[in-house]
Amino acid sequence: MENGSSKSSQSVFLEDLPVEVLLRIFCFCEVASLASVALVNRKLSALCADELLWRKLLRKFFLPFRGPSIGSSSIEWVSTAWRSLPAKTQCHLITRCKSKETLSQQPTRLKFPLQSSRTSGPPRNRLCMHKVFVDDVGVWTSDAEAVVRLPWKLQPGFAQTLTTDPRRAQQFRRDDQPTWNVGDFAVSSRRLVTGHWDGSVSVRDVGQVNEEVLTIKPHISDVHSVAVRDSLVVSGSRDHTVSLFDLESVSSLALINVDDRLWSVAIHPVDPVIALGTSGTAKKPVVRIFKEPVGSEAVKVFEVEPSNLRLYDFEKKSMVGNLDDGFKHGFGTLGTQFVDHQTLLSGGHDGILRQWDLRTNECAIELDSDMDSAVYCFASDGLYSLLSGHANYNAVCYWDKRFPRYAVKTRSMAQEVGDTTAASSVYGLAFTPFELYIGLIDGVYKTPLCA
Amino acid sequence: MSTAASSSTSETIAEPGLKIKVSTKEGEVFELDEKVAKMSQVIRGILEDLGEQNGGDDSVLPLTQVETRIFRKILVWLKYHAGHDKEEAPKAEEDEIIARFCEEIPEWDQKFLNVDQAVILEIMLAADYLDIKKLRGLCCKTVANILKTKTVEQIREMYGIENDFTPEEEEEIRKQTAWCEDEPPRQGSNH
Repeated sequence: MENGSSKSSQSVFLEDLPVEVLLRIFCFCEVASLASVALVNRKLSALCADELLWRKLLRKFFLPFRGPSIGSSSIEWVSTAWRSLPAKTQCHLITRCKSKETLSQQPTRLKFPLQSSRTSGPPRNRLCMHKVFVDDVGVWTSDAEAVVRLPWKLQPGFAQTLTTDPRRAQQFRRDDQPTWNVGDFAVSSRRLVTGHWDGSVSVRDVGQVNEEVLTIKPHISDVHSVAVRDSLVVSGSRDHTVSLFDLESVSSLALINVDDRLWSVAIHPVDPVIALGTSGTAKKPVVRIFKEPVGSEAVKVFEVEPSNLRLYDFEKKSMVGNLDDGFKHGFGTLGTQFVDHQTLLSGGHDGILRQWDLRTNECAIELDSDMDSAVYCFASDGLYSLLSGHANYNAVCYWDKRFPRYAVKTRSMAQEVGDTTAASSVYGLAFTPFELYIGLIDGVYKTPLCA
Repeated sequence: MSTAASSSTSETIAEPGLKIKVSTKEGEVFELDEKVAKMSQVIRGILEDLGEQNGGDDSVLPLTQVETRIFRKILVWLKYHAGHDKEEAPKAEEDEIIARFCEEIPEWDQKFLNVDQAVILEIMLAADYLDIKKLRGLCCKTVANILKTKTVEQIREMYGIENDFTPEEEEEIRKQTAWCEDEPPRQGSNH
């Protein structure tokens, strides 16, 4: 060794280096170098697949500042699913925004048996707005008559693609009514909350027991949006009111009239704050807060600036922020969702998906598809990926937050579905790490995010 | 060897303060300033363990895994950094300090490691043995930088490694790693 120069001492690399030293070198490598090293021979190839090595690379190159997401139970589940994947797979999935294969495959329609509760009369038109939600149990969707749950075939291990089990599909509906007419639904801690066209809100236990917990009727017109956090149930209606109901004390906390149609509501994951997306048609809105639903005296009345997206503090009983990117009259906010305690997403009639920074209440990211087509729904995996579903052309846009100027991919689902649905809007979107679920007018479709 | 030993001891600049004696694999004895010696966590640990009971100046710490040739190189690096580095932050941030140091290797260190790759690897092993994390990281990063510029064939040639894959296996791995070729998107950059 003393004087060994070329051949003999150069082989020190393979012969003499312990595995942990090799891995330490690889930690300093870039992903592209590792691709070369993995092709050298079997020993190095095996080392290049090391889980701890990839965890380090994941933190270094891909997810440098990521904390836990606690926005909605769906996002929470997806980010848990992410974190349980092998680190190398996570690195791979994060680069899919660069792949041509992203959203390139044919969507397939989920099949599940639906029994109509109607035994007589004309056959029901099954076309309706299918909202979609995923959690650890399975895929949820709303049909005009009921909410349907399609459980995962396997207990999620996430190593492989999840599939649903149509034979175990379950329908949730009201026993006393032939149709349920679900406007929106939310799932949390085995509770299913549904908002209905007659202004009522139902809560159902969908865990071990399957039974209705209660039904309230805080509104006099269609419920467009519901949200649930722990024992708090929030619903927003066409009749300009937002209801806050506490399941623990089984009592109404407040009914707020915001002088404008409610399209979407969301509950902050930590603070006593709710987001209210409205139609933005009131010129001089007056907010009236009632203790009890309908009929009682207002506890508090105050004027507010026109806005289509507001934050309301239900402990202070006051508006705590307008999220406006230049308020435009009549441009409704059709969807809102908290990604984490300082991030809110919103989409609506102006066709732009926005991410709001709640520390400043300013718009941090603006995703404009240039399609001039309203954003009906969106989904976030709590990481970099966002999807927006649009009113026209069955269009779904895939976004990577790191590159906000252009959609990574815009995909029209129109060619895949039959004639009846050629003009369908996209009503619901949900993620798993590998797949996308899309709610169209005739059902729920599934497509791999990346080949 | 004895002549080399005497010349090396004369290299150390006479300074007031404790001197630590170490011996290399070949048995050559070096006398180091306490500050320099303690940059090795291994030496620091031994000194702390010995504590006050080690009164005799004659004790020599044997570094049986380090050749004189490599130890001389390491000594150059230690002395330079003992004189040039600012007070290090507490241990908790050590990883971060090393990562930052290696992200942009200072000019002096680049020149220091502008040697045969086999020597870099030997320095790295010695730094690992002596637990000098910053030097070890520096060597790792330098090797990683060399790997970055090489193709698969060049890596095999450089280290004299045989390709033991079947063509099918090779194709499979090529498929699995295809995505790696794209540079990972950097935070905050745009198209």
